[in-house]
Amino acid sequence: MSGFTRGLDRFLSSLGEDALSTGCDRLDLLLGGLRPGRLYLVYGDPDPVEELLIHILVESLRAGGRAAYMLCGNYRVEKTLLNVEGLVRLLEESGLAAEDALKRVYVLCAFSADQQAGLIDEISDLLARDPEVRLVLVRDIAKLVTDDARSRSRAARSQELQGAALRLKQACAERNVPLVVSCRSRRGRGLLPMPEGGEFLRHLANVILYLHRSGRGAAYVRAHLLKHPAQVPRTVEYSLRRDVEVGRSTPPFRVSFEETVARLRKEFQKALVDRDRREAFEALVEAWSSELGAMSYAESLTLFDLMLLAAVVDNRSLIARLMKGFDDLRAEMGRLRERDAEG
Amino acid sequence: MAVLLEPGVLEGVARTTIAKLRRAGYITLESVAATPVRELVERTGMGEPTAVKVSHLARMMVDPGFVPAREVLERRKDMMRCTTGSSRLDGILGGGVETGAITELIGEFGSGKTQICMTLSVTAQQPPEEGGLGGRVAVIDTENTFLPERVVQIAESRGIDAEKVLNGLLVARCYNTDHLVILIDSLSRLVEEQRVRLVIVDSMIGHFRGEYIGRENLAPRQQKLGSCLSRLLRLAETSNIAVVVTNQVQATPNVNYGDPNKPTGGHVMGHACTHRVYLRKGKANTRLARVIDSPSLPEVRVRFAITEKGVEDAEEE
Repeated sequence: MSGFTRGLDRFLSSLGEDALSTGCDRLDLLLGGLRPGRLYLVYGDPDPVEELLIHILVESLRAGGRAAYMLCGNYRVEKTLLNVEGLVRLLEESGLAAEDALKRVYVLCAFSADQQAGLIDEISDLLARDPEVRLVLVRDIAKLVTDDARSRSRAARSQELQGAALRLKQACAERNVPLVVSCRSRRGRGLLPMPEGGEFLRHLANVILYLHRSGRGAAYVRAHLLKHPAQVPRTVEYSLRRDVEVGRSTPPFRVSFEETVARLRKEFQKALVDRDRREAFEALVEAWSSELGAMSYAESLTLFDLMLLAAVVDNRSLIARLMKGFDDLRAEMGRLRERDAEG
Repeated sequence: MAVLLEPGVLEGVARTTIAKLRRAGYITLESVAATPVRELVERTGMGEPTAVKVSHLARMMVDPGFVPAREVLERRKDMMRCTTGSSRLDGILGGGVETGAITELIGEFGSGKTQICMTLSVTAQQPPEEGGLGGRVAVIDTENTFLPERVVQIAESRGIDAEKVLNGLLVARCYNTDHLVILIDSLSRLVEEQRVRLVIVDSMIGHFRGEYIGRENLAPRQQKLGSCLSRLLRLAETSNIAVVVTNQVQATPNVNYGDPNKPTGGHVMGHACTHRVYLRKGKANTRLARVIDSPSLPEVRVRFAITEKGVEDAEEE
């Protein structure tokens, strides 16, 4: 059928395709893994984007085969290469022999504008030469045309980038290799920033992912899926740090304690109008505060802790009231005794 | 009904010439009649006088020349329409995607172009009484976005046998513009042999934009694009099939208010496509569709939704 295949055959072959992991279960669920021949465009805050690229690289090395990592910027301007220390640490954490794994990574970078212009040819040759390359990672694709000293119009740069991105995608599609491309973000007309590289790159990408640091802390990243042929656009939060569990985060004990005290204050607002009770409560809060260090191992206040706290507050109040009653009675008895003695 | 090009159909034309034509993909009289002589020469390798003779004979048999408008109207009754899955979207298209024409879907990334194509690839295989075209679907996938698993999901959520749908779907991955030309050329044979009723090209412009860089290459790019579109239109008209192509947008920086995007492909694209539908993102999973150019359809805007079923009507606000 001259190039046409039946949908069923294509479906069956897609079932046998090995999707590469991103190194994060949540992202794998969101994206359905990294499938051969597709272009994944990742943009947003530089740190999470870089972190994700490195994790994808490690996962591909774990899966076997080789990987190519291409830096589109000019080294003389950028002064940065692949974060080898971070990569080695991750490789060791993944149980891979770092030296052996690093031998399976091709790093391509340019030291001049001419070399930048030749990067795409370089990677096409590499893919043709080495069939063991199973992944191509490209950092900051827009720098291919923005980072060199050659002066040309904005339109010419944009067209150059179009050509480069298309050739890159064609080379990877022909070899059935997933292509992950990163770029910086720029302000868009909508709520979310848009990727650099113009409308064409957005059309060319099969999947577009926007990453930014979550408000919950440095370890958390929010990923917005903006384009996917089979998934509805949505947002997930993830963390690539192995010691952080997304969805079960434990707030610091002090924060938890202060929240609980504030809540108790509100709940027992009426009871604490009584001065004695209020003093008792404050004394208790102080006592509990001094115990913070000892209690910092606890995840948060349990229900029993709360009940105990409430009971103790009330008991202290009752005791104070009883003591006052006793004092009143004692005074009353004293007065009566004095009256009897006078009588 | 198309007449098959067989020895003896064209009086005075040798068997070898017929064989050459068939090898080049011309298997109906209509396809020969609609092809320019120059193209016949290029693709079959026959001499120009023979090509002129073949073309003339085929045209005489197929096309009677001027006909009364009433007859044209009668012919229009053969036209079929394929549902997109959303009755509102069908409404602005005059009842669905029509045969004998090119329908162009334009929009920025994530505006629902591919989703409409994938839904059409399911609905077009349904019988005409259920809103389909009752035939197979050929897809030229230039961006590697046509996912069979999504087609399965759409079919299953519509209660349609997914295996049957996948069997009736012919997909070709396209790697460059030359490959696109080859695939388009092979369509005429595919349409007759495999009973294809809908051809989808997603996207039409992608490779052209990336391969022909610079103003100096604009003219050859547009010529090649125009040639591809004209072949598709010829195929749509001669075989009475529906053709759907997707088109990208490009930003125009000098627009201060309103939508800065405009369709790519210039006038060539605009003139070749019969109906042009512009898609935009809406709230949540909804999309807005507007007919921006059509000889018969009014410029109306509707909202539709993208769900598990592919494309369907959006809930009322």
